[in-house]
Amino acid sequence: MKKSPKTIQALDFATGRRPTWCPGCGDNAIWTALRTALANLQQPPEKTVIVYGIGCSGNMANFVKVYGFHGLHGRGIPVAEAVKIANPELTVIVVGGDGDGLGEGLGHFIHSLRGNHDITYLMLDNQVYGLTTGQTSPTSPQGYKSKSTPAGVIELPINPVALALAARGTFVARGFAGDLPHLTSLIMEALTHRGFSYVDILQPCVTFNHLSTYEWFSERVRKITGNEAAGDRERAIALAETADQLPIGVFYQESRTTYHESIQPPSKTVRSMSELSVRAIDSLIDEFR
Amino acid sequence: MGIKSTGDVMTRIIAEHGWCVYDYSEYPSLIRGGHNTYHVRAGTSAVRSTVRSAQILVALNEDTVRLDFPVVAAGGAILYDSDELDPDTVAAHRDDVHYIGLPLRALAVESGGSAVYFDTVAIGASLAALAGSIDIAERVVARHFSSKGKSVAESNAAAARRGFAYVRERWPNVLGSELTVQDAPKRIVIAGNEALGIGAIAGGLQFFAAYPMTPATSLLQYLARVGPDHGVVVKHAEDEIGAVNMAIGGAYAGLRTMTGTSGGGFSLMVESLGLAAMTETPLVIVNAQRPGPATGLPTWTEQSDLRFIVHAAQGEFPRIVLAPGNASECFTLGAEALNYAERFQLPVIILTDKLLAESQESVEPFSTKHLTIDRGKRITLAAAKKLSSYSRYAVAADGISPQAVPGLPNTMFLANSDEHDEQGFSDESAGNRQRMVEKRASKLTTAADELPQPMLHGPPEAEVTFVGWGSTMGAVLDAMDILARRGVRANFLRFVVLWPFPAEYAEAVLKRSSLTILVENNSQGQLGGLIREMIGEELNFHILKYDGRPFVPGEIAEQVLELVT
Repeated sequence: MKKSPKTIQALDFATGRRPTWCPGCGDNAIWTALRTALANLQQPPEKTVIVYGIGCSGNMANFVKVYGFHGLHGRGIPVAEAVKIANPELTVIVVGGDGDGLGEGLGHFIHSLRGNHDITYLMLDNQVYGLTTGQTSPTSPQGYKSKSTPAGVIELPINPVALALAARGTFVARGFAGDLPHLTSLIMEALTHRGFSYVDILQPCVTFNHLSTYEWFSERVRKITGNEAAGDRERAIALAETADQLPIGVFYQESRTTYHESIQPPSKTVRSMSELSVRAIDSLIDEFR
Repeated sequence: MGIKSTGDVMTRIIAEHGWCVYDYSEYPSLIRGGHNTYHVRAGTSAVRSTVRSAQILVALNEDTVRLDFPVVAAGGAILYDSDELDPDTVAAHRDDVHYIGLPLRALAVESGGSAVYFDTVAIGASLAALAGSIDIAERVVARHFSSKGKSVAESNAAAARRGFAYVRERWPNVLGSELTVQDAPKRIVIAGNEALGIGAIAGGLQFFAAYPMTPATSLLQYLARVGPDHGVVVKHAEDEIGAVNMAIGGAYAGLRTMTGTSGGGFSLMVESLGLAAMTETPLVIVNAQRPGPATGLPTWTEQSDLRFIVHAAQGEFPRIVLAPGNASECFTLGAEALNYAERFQLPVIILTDKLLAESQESVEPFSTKHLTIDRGKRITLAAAKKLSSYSRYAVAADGISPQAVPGLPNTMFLANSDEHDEQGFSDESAGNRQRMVEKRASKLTTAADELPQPMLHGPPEAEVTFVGWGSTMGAVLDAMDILARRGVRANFLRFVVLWPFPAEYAEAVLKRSSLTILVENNSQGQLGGLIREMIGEELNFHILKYDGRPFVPGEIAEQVLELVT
């Protein structure tokens, strides 16, 4: 059967640069899942924007051929929000780590959820700060010992799925780098959802996190079954809070008007491509006469 | 109504008589209470600054008598509610002042309104003392209250009329001068923030994100109110770091964007300033200064962020720093900053301050005749379709590489906060790093050739050369008028572009000046330090004010007269 030359493939999203992640790093799998998901959806690369945070996950910027923006640590979300407002025809994705998104960037995360900005947020969650060589992260378990918390971290970990649900997220999901097909289809669902799509992607850090290994994850990760959360935010939170379990799949999904659909002037036109000319200001001046 | 409204009404009444006005308000960082004053200064020709003496002090509470009675000029008047206040119990009696005490609240009720209209009675009463036109006052008062319904508008107009009649009857020609109606060209009365907002709208602003912070807040609120009907999306962001990154994201995607804040908010935006520079994304930030450090004096004025702004953020990169001197320049630079940001693909910072942002002045209605939109080197859709490769950061003689935006075919690139190669991919090699540092730096050289030179007010040669920037413009120009009347010739070298520093022009002027006097609203003479650094020239004398208040022309002129005589 002749393949259509116009078919978008996972390889079309590769830049030709070899990933620099450690062998066995979950980022390799997540990178593959993302490109596969985009290709499966026939998402044109030139209509795709990925905003990256800073961390090992952010280095993905060099390996995906789309319009990329490798921003500041924790500050990817506001960049992405404005890109979507500028041109709602773009598919806008944020890729960042747990430190980037729940440490430095926690505020932006919550506000974007409550605003239902139509972006897809992939949080590459390895429960450690990899790129800065192994410090504790907001999702590290209580007591986690690292070079920055040698006595064991005092705080309880953030549960980002529960947090996203409480912050009124309209699509809240969790995936696992150890289950590539499941993750790929989860990312596709996230990309298709209209509104803020959050996917907490569990992964090991083979170099620094000797606690949360693939074995450790396999003892806790299990798929959400059909009826468990059943479109109920409270049940979804309870599910997310289940002790010693890391359910993966979609916890909750609802339809709610997205941010850019609510703003004035309306986003009907692609603003960023519009011709600009000097605007008339006579009506503005009148109020000051 | 509050003092702000009362004062604004007074400003507009006087303006409608055809006079030039300049107002200035002082208020503490509180919602209720504290000492709040509103100064309205009027003249038949341009009024550009405030002063510390008044023909009329309208004292609506005891604090005002206690704190401000000394500012009443000899022959002037204090106006107050005689049922509520007895100035003699608060301040030493002055024989050279007229005491206009009238039952403001009782008159308000008598005129058919509520006692709360006492300040409108005071407006009418003041106008009588000034021998102005009550017809004009009624018109302005009715217009001011029109949004509150016909009944409220009419009651207030009646209250003003009552106050006017009462004073005219009992204190005829009290001040011996008249607020005559002038046959004047139509002017507008506007403050710096609103002027800047209008300029930005004229200049094609499409997205404004900000977080409230005095004295930049009224820029956000003005744009939020009028922006959407003029093509501007306005976002009140969750914090300043969100605001500036939204502005950057919007510009990356092809919009004309801006954010505005004060020094503390700018401090939060500093890392992102570098992000804009590193990714060569256009960005305009307004910093409406106030006294710092930290929370400082939120509602007062100072111009002490100069060094901070010129150097902010880690590393070395090009930026443009602009300093409007009055509302008209706020309008022009509000538009031009957007052009500079996109033409040179770098951050542009507009420095204003509380005095400039919030004082209203009479100006000629703004015209867009001389404005153009220059979006710089940009890849069009037609051009993109023909490309087989694209380097966003291609090294160029002028340092500026054409900008593509997401959505265009064939021009995908990475905007990277890491040091990067010509396509934007992270690159740590020595050669690339050096090349990229030079590419970015060369944009500043390009900009320096195209940006406007400093202003030289007054004659090319003079005994005294004032040196300054920003909102001190009005007081310095007025001081020059005072000095001229005393036989001292002065000119004024005023920097509008602070960075790239216009060394050549400045040096030429300063080298031929006999006595150079820095006038700055800060304690360290920051511009003086910058001049010394860039030209090697130490200014002769510093007149510095750092008490949170603006200069008045008299204090500048006095100090100069002491020097030269």
